[in-house]
Amino acid sequence: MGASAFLYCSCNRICWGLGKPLSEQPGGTVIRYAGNPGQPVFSQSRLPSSALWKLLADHVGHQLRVAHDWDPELHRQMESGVLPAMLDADGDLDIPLPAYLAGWPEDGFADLLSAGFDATDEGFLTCERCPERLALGRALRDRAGALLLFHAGDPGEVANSRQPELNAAAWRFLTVHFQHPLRVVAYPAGERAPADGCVTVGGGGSGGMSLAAYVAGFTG
Amino acid sequence: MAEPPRPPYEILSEANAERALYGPAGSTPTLAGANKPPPDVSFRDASGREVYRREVKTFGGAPTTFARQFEDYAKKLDYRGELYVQVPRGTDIQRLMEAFWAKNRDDRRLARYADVYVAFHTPDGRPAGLWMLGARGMGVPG
Repeated sequence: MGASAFLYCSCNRICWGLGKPLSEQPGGTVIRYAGNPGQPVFSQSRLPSSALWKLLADHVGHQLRVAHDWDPELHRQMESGVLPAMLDADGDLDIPLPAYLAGWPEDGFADLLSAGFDATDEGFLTCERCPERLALGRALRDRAGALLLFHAGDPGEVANSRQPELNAAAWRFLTVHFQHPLRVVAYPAGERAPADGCVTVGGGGSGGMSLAAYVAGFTG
Repeated sequence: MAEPPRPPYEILSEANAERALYGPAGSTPTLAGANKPPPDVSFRDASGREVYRREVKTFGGAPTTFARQFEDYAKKLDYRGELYVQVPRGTDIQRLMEAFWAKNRDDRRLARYADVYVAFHTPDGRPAGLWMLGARGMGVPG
């Protein structure tokens, strides 16, 4: 018997079944999530990867967590009175991935930047328990200040979900930090230095860890 | 980092671990192994063909959680097979099932669960009800 894993947000609006957390031996470190039957692993699946990047943008500032299906905190969250929609599910209240992604300008960074949308902030996926954070790129905001998406690299670069190393790094971060409290943050470039000893993955800064090194051997 | 403490009712009992290996006559259970994708147990005939599939779960949460998690379990099981579920003694199983059907009011959506059964068991291995996820109100209480 294997427990399943769910990614959920403290805002209780969304919950996503990632399948069983797989490890090489019982009780060992999670190496990836099983996902859906017959589908490629998450980092090589277009829709789930796009959905993950949209979820990170939608839930900036919120606490995210991946937990076992039996986890008491997950149950408390699911039973707190507001019913979270299940992502990539097909119940009446749920959101299939195509619907979740509909209208999201994932590939529109360059155009929207040219149109004057703000992208001065930098985004990070952080673990509140471990000294590690993943650089997500520039945070593009709409004219009302709402965060639309993260974009790493030059404006003309493809969307983050299609940058293989960065996308794999995002999925790996969710496995390395299984059950940890995570948070997406965005603030002006250079405004806040990472805490002492915190390793920044990606982002091209000095002293961090390269994406290639972070995802080496990752199969999820 | 240590996992949060797991409630006792969420640990699969030895009785249910043994019963979960009983399948169709003439078939042999093949275990997926720990931490492998569903199904946990695949029953195969002499030619190696899968004749039945079973995923084993424990559940001790509320009806709303049941509805959400079991949709996902069924999907990960490819909408085919049995969910063998250990629940605490005294669980109101009818409420769990009604929560599932209430969340799936659209019969067209419910139809995708037509080949998924939920077999509830108490921790001592006693059957506590057999229900069809895909047929509203259809089931046999334990």
